[in-house]
Amino acid sequence: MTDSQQRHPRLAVLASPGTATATAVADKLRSGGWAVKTIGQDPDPGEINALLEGQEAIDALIYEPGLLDASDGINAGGVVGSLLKVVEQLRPHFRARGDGGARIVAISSRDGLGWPDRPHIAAAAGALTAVCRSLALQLGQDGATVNVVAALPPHGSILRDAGRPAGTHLREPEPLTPTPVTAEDIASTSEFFLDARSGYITGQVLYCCGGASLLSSLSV
Amino acid sequence: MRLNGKVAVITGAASGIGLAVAEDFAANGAKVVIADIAGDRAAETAKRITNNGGTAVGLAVDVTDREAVEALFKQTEVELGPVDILVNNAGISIDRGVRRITDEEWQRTIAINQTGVFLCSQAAATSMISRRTGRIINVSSRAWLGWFGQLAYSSSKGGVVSATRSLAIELAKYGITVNCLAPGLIDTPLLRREPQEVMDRLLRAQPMGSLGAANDVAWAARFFADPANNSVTGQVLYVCGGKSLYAQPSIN
Repeated sequence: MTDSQQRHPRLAVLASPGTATATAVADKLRSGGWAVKTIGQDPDPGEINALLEGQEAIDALIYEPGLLDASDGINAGGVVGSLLKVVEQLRPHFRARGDGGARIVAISSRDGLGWPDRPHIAAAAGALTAVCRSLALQLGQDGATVNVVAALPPHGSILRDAGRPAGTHLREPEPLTPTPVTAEDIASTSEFFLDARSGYITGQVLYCCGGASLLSSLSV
Repeated sequence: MRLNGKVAVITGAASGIGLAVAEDFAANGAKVVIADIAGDRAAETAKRITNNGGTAVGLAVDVTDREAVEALFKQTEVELGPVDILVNNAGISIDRGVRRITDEEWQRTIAINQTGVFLCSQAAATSMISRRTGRIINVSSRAWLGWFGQLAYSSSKGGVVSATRSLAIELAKYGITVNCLAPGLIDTPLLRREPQEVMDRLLRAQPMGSLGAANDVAWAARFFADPANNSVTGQVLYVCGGKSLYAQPSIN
């Protein structure tokens, strides 16, 4: 499939508490010709019906639970439970395998490799990866792909430049590359996974962190 | 994701995945060097791309030969300009168990699959560092995780993963990203030679129940080659339909 042959407008559903990262993803997708509809992380049937109005199928789900922007209120059970519930509700409406299948992307955090001061985010990020790998296996026969973008908290996030974690001598991971990680970088990586041409890529984690993940043994 | 005007050297580009990458890059604006041990097929491929409106040069290279590799990059600079994107794709696979593989087979596999990545990356990095930009994409294989009868192949491809991570760390400060693709079962003429019962067995072990296409890998390569993609480096991306999630060695 070439760039010009992609279906327009494709429908992307963005499930997020509403963060700068989510806004960047929505902007990126809309500029690429997608129709983007947003829902909360615990949508009721009315919300689902409303977003399907006038649409034949859902092409993509972006699950952005706020791990890159939140300072508290994150718990792993809630994050993965919400994803599973949203997927269960949307699954009957996903684009069929014969028509290209659906794409699911979860936006997670490099903190899943472990980070002091943010164990709840780390736990949620780790759990999100495990759930997405399981969903990739579960939904593969449907032609749906499920992937993860694990990022450093981007430039401008309240989690950046937070100083040394209390009681440690450790310094916050920084990109090895010359430029900071931005919400737009995260959006571009998400867009890659959401593309119709990424149909043979599933269960994967791409770290969008300028190489800051590389020295963790969990990053391969 | 456009690669307008970027100079891309793709090794092993006269067939299979390398060919798909070259055609994809050329169709999206890159000036491509079809580098291949088979110089005549490289020239034919370049001619075909040129006839389709792209910009391509076909050059013969043995990636295990330092002088030949250095000549490749000098010639590239003369004909198209300094290299912006290197795709280390040239490789061989010799499937033989630990009791049967010979010294020569082991050394040849390591030389092409691993030393070739070293020599080409070294030659390209020199130019990329001076210009503070570049993209290196290494083609490993899902087989680096290990497989029956693939001691040499999986070892060499594991070396490619390690090389990717070390190069990414070393070159990041120069604005050069280095990433790795790990294809799984890709529909190629070589795979099609397998008996139907083997194909059926392989497909049963695929979570998505299908083979990939060389174009699937080319698309992922273009993502890593994208000049705007500054924050993804040192990554290993499996293009395998989920096979990397689901080891099932008992099927062999």
